[in-house]
Amino acid sequence: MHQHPRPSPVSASPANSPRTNPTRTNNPREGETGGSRAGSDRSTLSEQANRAGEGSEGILRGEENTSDGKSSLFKLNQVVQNYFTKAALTILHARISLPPSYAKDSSTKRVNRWFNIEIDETDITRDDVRMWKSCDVVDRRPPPMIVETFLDTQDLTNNQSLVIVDDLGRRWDVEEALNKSPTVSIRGKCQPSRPEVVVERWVIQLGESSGEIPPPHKLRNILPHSYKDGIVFFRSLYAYLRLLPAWKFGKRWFKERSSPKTPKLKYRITAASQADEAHKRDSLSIPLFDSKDDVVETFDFEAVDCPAGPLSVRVTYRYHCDFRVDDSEAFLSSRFMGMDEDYFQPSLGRTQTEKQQGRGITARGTTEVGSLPSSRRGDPVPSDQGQAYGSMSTFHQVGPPAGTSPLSALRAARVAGSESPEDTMPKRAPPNTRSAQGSRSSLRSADGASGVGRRPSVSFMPFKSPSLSASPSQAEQMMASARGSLGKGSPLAALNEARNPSLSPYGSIPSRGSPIQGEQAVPSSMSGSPKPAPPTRISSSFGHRKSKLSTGGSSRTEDDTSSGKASINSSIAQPGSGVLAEVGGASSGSLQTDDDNISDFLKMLDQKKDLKSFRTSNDQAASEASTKRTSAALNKFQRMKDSNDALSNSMHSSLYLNRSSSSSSRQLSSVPPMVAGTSMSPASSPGKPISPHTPHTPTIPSRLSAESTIEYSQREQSQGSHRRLRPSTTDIEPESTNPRDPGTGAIDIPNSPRPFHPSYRRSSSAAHRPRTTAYYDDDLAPFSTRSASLGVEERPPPSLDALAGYQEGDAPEESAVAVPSVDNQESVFGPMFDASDRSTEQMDNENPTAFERREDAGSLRSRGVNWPRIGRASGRGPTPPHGSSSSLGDRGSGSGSSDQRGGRSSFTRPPSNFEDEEPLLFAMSDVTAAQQSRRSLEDGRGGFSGASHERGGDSGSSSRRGSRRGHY
Amino acid sequence: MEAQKPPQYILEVFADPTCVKDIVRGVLHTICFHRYFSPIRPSYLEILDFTLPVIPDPDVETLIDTRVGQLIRQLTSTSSPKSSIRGSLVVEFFEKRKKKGGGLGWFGKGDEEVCWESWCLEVTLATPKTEIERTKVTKAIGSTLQKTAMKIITIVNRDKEHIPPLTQSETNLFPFHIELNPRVEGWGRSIGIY
Repeated sequence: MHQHPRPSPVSASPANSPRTNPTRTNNPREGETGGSRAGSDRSTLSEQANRAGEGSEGILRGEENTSDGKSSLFKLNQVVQNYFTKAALTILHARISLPPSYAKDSSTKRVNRWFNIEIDETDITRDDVRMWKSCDVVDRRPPPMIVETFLDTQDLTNNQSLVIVDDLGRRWDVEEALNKSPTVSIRGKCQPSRPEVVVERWVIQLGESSGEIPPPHKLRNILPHSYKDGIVFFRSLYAYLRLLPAWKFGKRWFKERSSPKTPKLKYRITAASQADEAHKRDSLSIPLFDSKDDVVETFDFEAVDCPAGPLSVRVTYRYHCDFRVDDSEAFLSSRFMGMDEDYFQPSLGRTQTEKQQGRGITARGTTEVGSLPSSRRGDPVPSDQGQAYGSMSTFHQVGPPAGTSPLSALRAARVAGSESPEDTMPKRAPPNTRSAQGSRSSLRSADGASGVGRRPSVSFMPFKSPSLSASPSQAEQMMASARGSLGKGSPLAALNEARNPSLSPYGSIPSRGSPIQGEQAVPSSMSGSPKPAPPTRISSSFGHRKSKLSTGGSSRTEDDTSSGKASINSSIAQPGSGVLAEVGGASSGSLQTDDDNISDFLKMLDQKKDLKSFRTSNDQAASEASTKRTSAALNKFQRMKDSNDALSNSMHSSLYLNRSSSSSSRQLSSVPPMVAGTSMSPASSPGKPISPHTPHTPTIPSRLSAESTIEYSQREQSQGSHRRLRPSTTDIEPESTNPRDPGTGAIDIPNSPRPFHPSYRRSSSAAHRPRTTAYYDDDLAPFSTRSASLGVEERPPPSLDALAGYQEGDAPEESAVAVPSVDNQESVFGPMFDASDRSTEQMDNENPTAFERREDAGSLRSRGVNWPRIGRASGRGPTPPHGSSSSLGDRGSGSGSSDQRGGRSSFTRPPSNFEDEEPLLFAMSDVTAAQQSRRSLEDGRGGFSGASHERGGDSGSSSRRGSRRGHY
Repeated sequence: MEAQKPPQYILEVFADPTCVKDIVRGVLHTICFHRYFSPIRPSYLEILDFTLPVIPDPDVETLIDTRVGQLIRQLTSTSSPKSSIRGSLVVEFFEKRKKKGGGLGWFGKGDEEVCWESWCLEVTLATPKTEIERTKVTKAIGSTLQKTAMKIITIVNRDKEHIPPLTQSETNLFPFHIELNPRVEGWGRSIGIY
């Protein structure tokens, strides 16, 4: 119409080249080698250059050639052919980095100018589009062209995972989602070991024509119109391509090509039958994660009317295209965490909580969360994680039951054995935690379950002090994990708390160890309680560990001694555990609540990382060993029993001390109020429950028991129960502690108790279970004579020096005892001990008994050494445990494992005493710190231990601070 | 075609002072991109994480930048107490037609420009005063821009019949004008033959 006539001359300039068109026209004529043409055409620069212009020009003008019917048809074919190829080129150009093709013998890029939009030509797709380049609208109508862009996971290494990030920043494993979907299999041809993800599917097709292809003279008039529409279409296609989600993805890839984080888009061009199409659509529409949004969206471009039929393009694309490549391990952890950047535990914790809650991944999440912080930070070990998760979850869930059953207890012991609570943590964060825990765990393990493995770790003597700290560190880890998860997800904490009730089951577990575990148990219980909550979420790992630990330690001991006792303990412990859990939760909550706290925790964690690593290594080893070791553990336990016996003896003494400590605990209880502020409340809450328990066994034992729990428990079980009871009953008698000193960490505790009382209270109810117990006891104290007695006795500890002497004397025994039972306990207690050691060292003699014992044990000392490091970190973790332990301890005591109680009480006491002294300091420092979270946790754990210890020592101070803060 | 009133599409543009310039530019470029039919090597703009097509033609860019600048000036000079200020731009596309020899053509046998399509951008300038508002506004700006771009693409794809035939592709067949607050300024065009 208007078009051809006039312009033709104008176009002449461009037309010049176009005129070559005739040749092209010829080409078409020559053959329907259209396809070949395309290829061949492109081969020639001039041709190509001409082509683009030519084709379009000619078409717009109607060209002279139009006179020739064939030429018209040829042009129609050209339009159709180029519609396909240009669409494919345009799409891929916007998605993938296409290598340009160069004109023959020149460095000139070939440009596709069809439809008045210039895009660099490429040869890479030549074979793919050959079918459409050679199509003919009459004889060989082109099939629909399907252009898919997809992500191939084949290229990923085994250590990499393709993940998709949803709107909330959560990461989802793409392969997992795809493998879940039955449709994936349909994909068929490539059913590679690793699936692919179709991101977009473009379907370009030539619809059925409404009738005969119009005669040339009409075609001549219609073609320009179609071409014009084509121009419009390609413009909108170009624009639309850049508004789709995949564009942003591709853009990111262009920007970050070097980054392995961004997966590369691939493409494929296929001719598909309708059936195929259906299948593919299915695969495209597989949801990769739960979302309210539609998985895919579709957009239909208005068909271009063409004499041969409507040319249409439809795109179906994934709405969410935020794909990334993650380190598998990291992803595992992160996924639970919810955030890849889980590193930020706080955020992670929250996210995790959300995710977990929402998804039910909670168990993993929780475990991960706990472990994650460290593990993620450090190096999440897939296997470890997996184990942790699996084990964690199972353990957690199982844990309680296990705790119930001796076997479970054993398991717990195994796992927990060294570091059940922490173990989980370590497992998750295996390396770091392990290493850190290692020391601790070793200590703990040695103490707790099979002293052997652990003891070896204990051998870390150098670390011993570290180990001590480690134990705290474990506690810290625990704390961290628990806190991290909980704290971060204050909600989690809340959950944990909420769960705590449920935890009671766990609580029972803790209870098992509760007496002994007191401290350990506390941690365990703490962890357990918190963990329990986590279990749902994250805590599970802890819970497992904890439960295991507590169970392991206490249960084993108990089991060894007597399941009945254990049961009793458990029963008692449960309440306590509940309390503890609450405490833990509270602490965690407080921690969580405070970002500052979190940050502090993080810092702590970082500091502790080393410890963690140790722990982890140890823990892992321990855990592994533990599993394997169950039997060994039993043996160990037996050994432990020996040690436990010694411990029990010491415990008894400690118990006596504990009694005194109980008084201290009262004092502590008073202290707890301090804590109450943050963690305190939790502690207090636990304390309340504990109080009932406390009456039974001096909370103190819990620490001791926790540390030496196993030993004690064993011993206690055999002998301990009586002794414990005795101690508890006799708690008042410091002297008894002296004799018991050997076993006694408990006794030591008494010493500590004195100092601890304050510290405990201050440090936070949570701090050490023993403490907490003490506190709780204290809280309970009113209720329980223990607290009163403890308080009094503990305070007496001033004689601590003497006690210390006793403890020292006892220490070997205690250490031995404590060690066996303790691994768990140690972990819990560790901090305590460490703190006590430190405190003792620092304090000189106040905690000496406990410390000395511990020191004597070496492990204790080492622990103490670690403390400084761990102290803080451990303080975090430990505190809650302590708190729990304390509660546990109380429980334990209540349950009747007087020994444990005694031990715990003693431990707690020392802290309390120290704390008392320290508290002020802490109070000062504490207030400032953002350690609130820590406060609660640390307070509970580290706070107590640290505080007590620290008056003199740094770690102590840190812990103290935490406790103080908590108190404050 | 000739007698029919050209279709007018109304686009809502929402922006805050910090991005109003880019937003309006992006929308104008997107419109022009779809109406500039001569062969081009397309380019694109990155605006607020969105990628919008651009015609790398100095004349087009200059015209758009000029009008956008005028709009911004108008919007910012308004001392309106309201939290939001409105302004509008109208983009009109013309085709040159040989004056049909009807009787007394003022321009003799010259060409006349006939508008065959117009786009009206109703620009709303929001000035968030609080962080919360700012967050909301930022979100709204992004979604509005996305919707606007999609709307343009949809319209362009859907309504093709009114596009005048392309008689050649070497030069831009369809001159366009951008008017600022056309109602205020009246119907005159900067270049229009009127």
